[in-house]
Amino acid sequence: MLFPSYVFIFIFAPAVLTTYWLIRNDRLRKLWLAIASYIFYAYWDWRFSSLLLIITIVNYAAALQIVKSADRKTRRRWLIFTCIVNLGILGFFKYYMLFAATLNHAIGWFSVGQLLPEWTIILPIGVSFFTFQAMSYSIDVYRGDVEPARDFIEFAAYKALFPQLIAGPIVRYIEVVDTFRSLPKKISTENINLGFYYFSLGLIRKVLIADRIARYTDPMFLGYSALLPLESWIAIIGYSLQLYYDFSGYSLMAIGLGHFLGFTFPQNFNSPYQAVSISDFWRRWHMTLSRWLRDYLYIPLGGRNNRAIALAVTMFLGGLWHGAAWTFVAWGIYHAILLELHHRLKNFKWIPRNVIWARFGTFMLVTIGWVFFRPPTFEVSFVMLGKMFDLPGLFQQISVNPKLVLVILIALVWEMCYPNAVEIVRVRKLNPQKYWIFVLAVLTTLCILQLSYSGPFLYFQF
Amino acid sequence: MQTSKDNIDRSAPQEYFTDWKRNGFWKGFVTLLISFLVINVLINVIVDPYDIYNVNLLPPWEFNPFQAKLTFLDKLDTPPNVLIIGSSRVVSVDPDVITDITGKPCFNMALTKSGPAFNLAQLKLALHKFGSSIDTVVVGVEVLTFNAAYPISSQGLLYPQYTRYIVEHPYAIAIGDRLTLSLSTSQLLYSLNSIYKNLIMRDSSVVADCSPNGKINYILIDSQIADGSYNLDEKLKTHIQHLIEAYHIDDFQVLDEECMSQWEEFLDICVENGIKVYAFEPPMHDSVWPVISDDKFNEVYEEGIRYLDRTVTEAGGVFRDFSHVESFGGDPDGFYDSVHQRPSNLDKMIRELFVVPGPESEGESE
Repeated sequence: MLFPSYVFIFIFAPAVLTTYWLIRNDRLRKLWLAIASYIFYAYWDWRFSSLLLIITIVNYAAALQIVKSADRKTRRRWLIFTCIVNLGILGFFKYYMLFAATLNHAIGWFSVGQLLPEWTIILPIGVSFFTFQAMSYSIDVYRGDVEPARDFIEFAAYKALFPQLIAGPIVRYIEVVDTFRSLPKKISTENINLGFYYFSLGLIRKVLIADRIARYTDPMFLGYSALLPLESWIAIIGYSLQLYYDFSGYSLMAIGLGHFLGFTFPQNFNSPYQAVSISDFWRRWHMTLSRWLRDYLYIPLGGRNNRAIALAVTMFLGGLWHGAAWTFVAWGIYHAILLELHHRLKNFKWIPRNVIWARFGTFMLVTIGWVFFRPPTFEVSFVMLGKMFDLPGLFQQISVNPKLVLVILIALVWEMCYPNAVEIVRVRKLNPQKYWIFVLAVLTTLCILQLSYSGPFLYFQF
Repeated sequence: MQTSKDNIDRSAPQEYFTDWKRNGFWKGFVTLLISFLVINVLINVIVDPYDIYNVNLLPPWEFNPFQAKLTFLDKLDTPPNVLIIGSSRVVSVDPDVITDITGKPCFNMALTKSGPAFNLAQLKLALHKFGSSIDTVVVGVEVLTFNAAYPISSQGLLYPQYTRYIVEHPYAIAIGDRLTLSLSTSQLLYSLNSIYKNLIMRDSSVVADCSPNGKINYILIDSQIADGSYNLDEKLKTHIQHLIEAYHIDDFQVLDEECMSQWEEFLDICVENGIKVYAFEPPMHDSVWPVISDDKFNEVYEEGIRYLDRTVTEAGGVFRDFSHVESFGGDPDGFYDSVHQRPSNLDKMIRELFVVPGPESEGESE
């Protein structure tokens, strides 16, 4: 079920939220939340609900065993067991096809034939998110950072919590445990206000900006071979904004829905295209994933003390997390190189100090990276790159829909010149103005009138 | 040990939430949002630009053959013996021409974007309404619609009277689609255009209408053709691309099994009810073929023609391949666009269909 859909906005969300606040018993409310979240997930494909249930059972039971056991080795074994199950499920459903195809291709050089059958496996929606979330729970319990869930229903409700289930933010148990343990009896006015504020802003970003850009850039990527150099730049800049507005829109909707349920979810984007360096970009882009990679991968790999290798491994796996294709790995490695270069250049003070130039440079470097992220094959990526850097060709007369240029400009100005939705509330502490109500209501109405044309979120595929 | 506790973005300090704690924001927002949506739905339902809510206060902005044909089907005094079934490429076939040939009353059931599923729905609806009076069907069947990517008409899904024969939960789909349509920008734009045209410009002209025998008349285009302002070449330039997208020609790699099964069910019903089938593949403008043809496309298309010929012949019917306009001696430019023929061509095609081909009786009329 998509957030920007009639069935979610007019049926599912009102029914679930109303029932949730009408139930007085905390245990029943958690049970209701779990049931509603499973319905939300099963709406896409009911068969994969069992996968979610298996992960929930395994991680819940293993966390209890970790806590019960006084022996460090036994605790470690249980942790390894949960990691194997979580990564096994993720690996099989997401990476088996890539692994089999790559292996068979390599074996093919020796004319041995196929070693592994190349099955077509359906990718369960959101599997990367909920397996990583499950691992964070087991690791946090193992490290003693958080107590395990008191009962299965509470854990099942947390694990399946529908606002963040399929595309994040990757909410850790430690971030919501207090709320789960003392669910508010009544929804507060500020939560209703913030719920509507975040959800409508997310909807606007997704439907009015991201989907509109996609309408023009998708055909450009399909016909990539005929693009002129400047058109290639416009297509990839359009995509970089589409991806950001799409995913940050989803995250805002999730944060808004969290408020409707009485939870405060972590911020997932902090104006990443205002970043003044690539390192700054990764502190602002998909923050819950970056944090996950940092805490559970980069730091255990040595962190700053072993920066080059830790960065390379983290970004390699971070790239692979996004999709089972070597293009995503290339994107991850590209960012690892940029990060390493940034650290080295920083020591020589070669990083531009002017904020505008720094932002522009970072944005362009990130945008060039999307050339590996968006196209399905390296062939397309390299053709696009070749066109983008055909400098004499940049002056050729282009044919681009002016509406695309207009939406890109609006998206750039919104991103570069204004504080983001979370910053407005949590950092700048601005109070809502009366005209916001009118503008938000008009734009939200427009979004609802456009729901039929809204496409799925880009990050669903990850 | 590094923990993540220090990185958690806890809820912000509560003291700054002064105005966020007041009811004004959400109450104002929800009130305005609901008001805007209700106003939008009211405009769309009252103006009813697609003619789907049967309000009829203003002439519809866009002609709706689904609604028109249901209306005339209900009003028929004499049950037809002959039905014309098919897509928009046969909606303008004149039933009077067939009556002239066969001497039997005829009704044109054809609907826009009608593939095998909707052809089957048309037949079942007619049998439900008229039963055994039907003894002949004339069906324009298109190979291009035997494509898994070719969707059931979204406009057709608004009408459970048709779709109850081919989809599950037709009424739920129809109600859901009508509600969502009333909440769409396209509907709102058509509503505003309709208000502007009818109430401000006082322009009562219509684009198309439906005769009581089910024939669709393209009034506006016919008048443009008559006064010489219609430019077919210009129309073809844009329409061929539209055609490729509408038929999903790039995805047409194989004849879809579900479509074939629906077509075979269509023929089985005809055989069971003693209905004679006259089927034909309607033509496309000559300029279309070079654009869409390649080896793969030609192979699938020709396989489709052979399949239709074989299945119709096995059902005791007649199949004619009129893919090219010269096959029935039509005017190569007797088209409105790349696939829709003008009435004169349609008349020729239908008269040719009823000519029984044979080694000794070329041109002999049945």
